[in-house]
Amino acid sequence: MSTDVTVETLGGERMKLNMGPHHPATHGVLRLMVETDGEIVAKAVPDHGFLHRSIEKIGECVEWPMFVPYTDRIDYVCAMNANLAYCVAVEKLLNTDPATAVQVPLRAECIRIIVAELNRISSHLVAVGAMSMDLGAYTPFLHGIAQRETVNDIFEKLCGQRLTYNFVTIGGVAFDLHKGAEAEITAFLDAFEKEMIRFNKLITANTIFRDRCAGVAAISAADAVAYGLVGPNLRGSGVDWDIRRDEPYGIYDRLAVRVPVGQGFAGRNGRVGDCYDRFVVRLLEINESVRLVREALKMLPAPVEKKTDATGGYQADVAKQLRKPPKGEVRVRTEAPRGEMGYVIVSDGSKTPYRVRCRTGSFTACSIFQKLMRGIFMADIVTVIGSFDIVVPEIDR
Amino acid sequence: MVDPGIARPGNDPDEQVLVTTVDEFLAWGKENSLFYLLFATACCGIELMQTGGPRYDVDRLGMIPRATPRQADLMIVAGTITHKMASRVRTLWEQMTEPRWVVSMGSCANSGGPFSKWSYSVLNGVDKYIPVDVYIPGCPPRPEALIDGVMALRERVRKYRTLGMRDRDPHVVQGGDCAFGSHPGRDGACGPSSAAPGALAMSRGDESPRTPQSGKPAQVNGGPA
Repeated sequence: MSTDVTVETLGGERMKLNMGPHHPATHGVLRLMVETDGEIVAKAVPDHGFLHRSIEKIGECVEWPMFVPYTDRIDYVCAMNANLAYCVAVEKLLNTDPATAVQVPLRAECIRIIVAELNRISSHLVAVGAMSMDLGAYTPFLHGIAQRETVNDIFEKLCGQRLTYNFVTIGGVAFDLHKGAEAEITAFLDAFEKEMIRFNKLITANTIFRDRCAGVAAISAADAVAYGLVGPNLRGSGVDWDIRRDEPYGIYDRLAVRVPVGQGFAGRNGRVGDCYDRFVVRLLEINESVRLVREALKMLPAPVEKKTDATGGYQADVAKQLRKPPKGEVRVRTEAPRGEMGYVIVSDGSKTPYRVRCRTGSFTACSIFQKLMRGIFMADIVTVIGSFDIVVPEIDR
Repeated sequence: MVDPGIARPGNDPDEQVLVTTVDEFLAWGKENSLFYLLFATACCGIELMQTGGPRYDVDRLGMIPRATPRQADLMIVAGTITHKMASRVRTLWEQMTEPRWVVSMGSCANSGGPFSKWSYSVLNGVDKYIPVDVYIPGCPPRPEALIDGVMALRERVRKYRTLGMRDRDPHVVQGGDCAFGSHPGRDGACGPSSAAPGALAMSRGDESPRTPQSGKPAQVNGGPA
């Protein structure tokens, strides 16, 4: 919904409103200091730090493998991807010195792709479900959660946890796939694809929902790059960039990753980079992830008895290397559901990191809020926050 | 033909009358309509959300999420509470109408969880700011654990007496077995300022709630001297 009235032409008395930190639509404890002129938002300034848990500082206190559970808590909606980002970074650090080089078994790499993409599916389901719930459509959220429960069941059998997995470890994964896991995952994907058709009929093709999101808070490709948007928020603006394809980590270079981008899907009223584009890009990424899981399942080598085996094992032996890792600094970025999750790790050669710096997608998404939320309707604030799929611990860490 | 000797259910006026006390009737109503405040800060919020979802479906227990604390009976503290957030949690709790209950969900709300040792910004337990009725362990707890905690809370709600002990704090009425040993009542705070000095060793000075502090700590029954 666009409006001909602007903040400048109104010039009335402004009202200050606090949205959050306790607000059902801010996805946690984000606070927005909003100034409104009637129904039009004149200014909205995000206030962070209500969930600052000093995770980066904790990284300097704990040993290398002990930080993996904390990465779960940085982004709990997609904990597998968060684990993966840190582990890839530490492996890159170890590989800077041939003496401590680590070779992740191929089977472990395949399992990583499978769990990361499954987690991307379940994360995007929460994103699209929560956005439609914020806009008043409660049923799609329930459909999304029902599918997420099935993914949680698979992960629970894998590692015993439903949400914070601590599954991907430095040098591989914590456990091998359980017996019959491949069949379970395939069965889920088959059922899930049918379910997504119903889901799309219910909400994506819904005229009310589409018109509600069309044209709202459109971001141009130049702006998206300038403000450092990442992941689906960047691709929603039509920028063709995906770390999995353009700067591959793990064995993503052996998979054919197709990247969906925003094209103004809402049709007549829509613009490239509006809220509906970001919504649809997430749905298209779900389809892409389904395909990637199937591909990775095909590549999965047969398991062997020895767990450190370079092909059929699932966990390289890294205990010795982690006691005395090489000195230096590495930067790694990976593609999490909320965009690039990057790590800068500085090592002084001891068994604890010298510095762990995490860069996440939700934080950069907040930088554009002030620009976007000028001149939109009050009710559209919820649409914008929902379309960015922010997770507050990722902002505050 | 109806045999007059066989009583038909529902027709006998004696069978349509239930004798109870007002208190028990009200407690039954409260127990079966625990509206909870939609208050999720971190990871546990996702499990809280999924508990409200189609598989676990807490609506069947009469639990309906409310966005505003003024309509809520129960506050499920789902997630980490930081020092910055703590005073807001207290405000939310104060805005709830009495009788009000609090469930602390997950390790972070119970004790600071994985952040209790190294973090400089996390409050080590929400019970330093608000009285907690039920603690649920887990990081995060499974939805089954949350439902189990709610069932434990319902036991407490059933014992609540609206008329019998009208101007007493509900936590005192229920045996005084909450984290502080006892509550001084409605006018006093139930935070660290009123707890016995040894009962709660505070790690930082800035954690005291916004209620005015009395000069000397109040005497608390049951707490260690």
